[in-house]
Amino acid sequence: MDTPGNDPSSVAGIIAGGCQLVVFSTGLGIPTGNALAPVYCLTANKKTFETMRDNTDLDASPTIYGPETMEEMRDRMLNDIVAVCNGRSVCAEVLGYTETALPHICNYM
Amino acid sequence: MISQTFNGYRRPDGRVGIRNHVLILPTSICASDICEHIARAVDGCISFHNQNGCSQIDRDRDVTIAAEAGFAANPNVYGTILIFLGCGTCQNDTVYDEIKKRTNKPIECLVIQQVGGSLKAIEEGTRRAQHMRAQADECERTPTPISELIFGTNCGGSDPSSVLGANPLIGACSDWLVEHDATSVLCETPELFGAEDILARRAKPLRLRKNCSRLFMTMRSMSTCLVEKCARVIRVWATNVEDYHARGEIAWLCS
Repeated sequence: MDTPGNDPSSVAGIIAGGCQLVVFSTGLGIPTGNALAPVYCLTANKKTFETMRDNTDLDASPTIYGPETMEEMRDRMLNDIVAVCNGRSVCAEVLGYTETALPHICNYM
Repeated sequence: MISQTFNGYRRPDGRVGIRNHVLILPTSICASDICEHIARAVDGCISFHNQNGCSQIDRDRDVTIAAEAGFAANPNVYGTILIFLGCGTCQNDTVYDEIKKRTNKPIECLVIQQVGGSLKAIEEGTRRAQHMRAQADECERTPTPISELIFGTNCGGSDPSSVLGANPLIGACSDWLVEHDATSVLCETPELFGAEDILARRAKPLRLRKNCSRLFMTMRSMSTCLVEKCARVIRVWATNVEDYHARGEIAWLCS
């Protein structure tokens, strides 16, 4: 989908396009959420997972440092995704974050 | 072992949601606070602050209406209460028609100027939200094949670990889902730089490959334009700094 690099408007765009769930990768950490759909946040940065734990659903650092393989991590994340589809809340839902932006090319008239 | 089904809410338009929200949808900024009051009053209702919907040029208005209608049609939404001030560029009937083109789910409209102000709109909106919430609670989750999932992907606040670990992991999940007939959505067009050919090669059918190529060409020309604009801004800024230097005002600028 052709969306801007701005995160809240990109996420809003794909949800308006029909996505039921959004996965969001971050390096430095981000608390973003959306009212309509769970935004599942993961990071492969160990330090960020510790400092931004409240906002991060998955520690993906084993993809870099091991011991799990990429395939094992994929299975773990997909099981998480199915759990979220079945109703488990992601961090952003628990904390009630609903930031939403819509892209525009012109200032208000 | 990954489950190939999930329990979702089947909507009358055939799509399947993983949440069962009632959406209190502000068609413009002027309805946003009222929508928030209503959504807070009734458990299971959601809203968001919509900064757009008024004083917009045609193209931005169309994007706003498409987004609003898309939100209402999202399968995580049971039904929508559309709240409109009464004036503004995103007129209620236009938004209503756009929603109706996309879905046959429940929808109601409320016009703040017609019901007689914000307090009456909150009262009436809350009553309707409570009623719609009761209907939404009748919905039950049913087993659904994973192929019904539309998986959105995004990244932000990136650092090298995103490229080394988190994004490839999302790619691995995405490939697995697509192998099981689910849909995966890539976005953030400007961030696809450097991977254009890889993505275009993977695009099926051929029509999509052509669309990818066209999109990337547009993106390249936009970026070139942006770089030129930035260079111009930097040049102007540098000129100003030299000018300020000459007038002895640079210390003020730095503070």
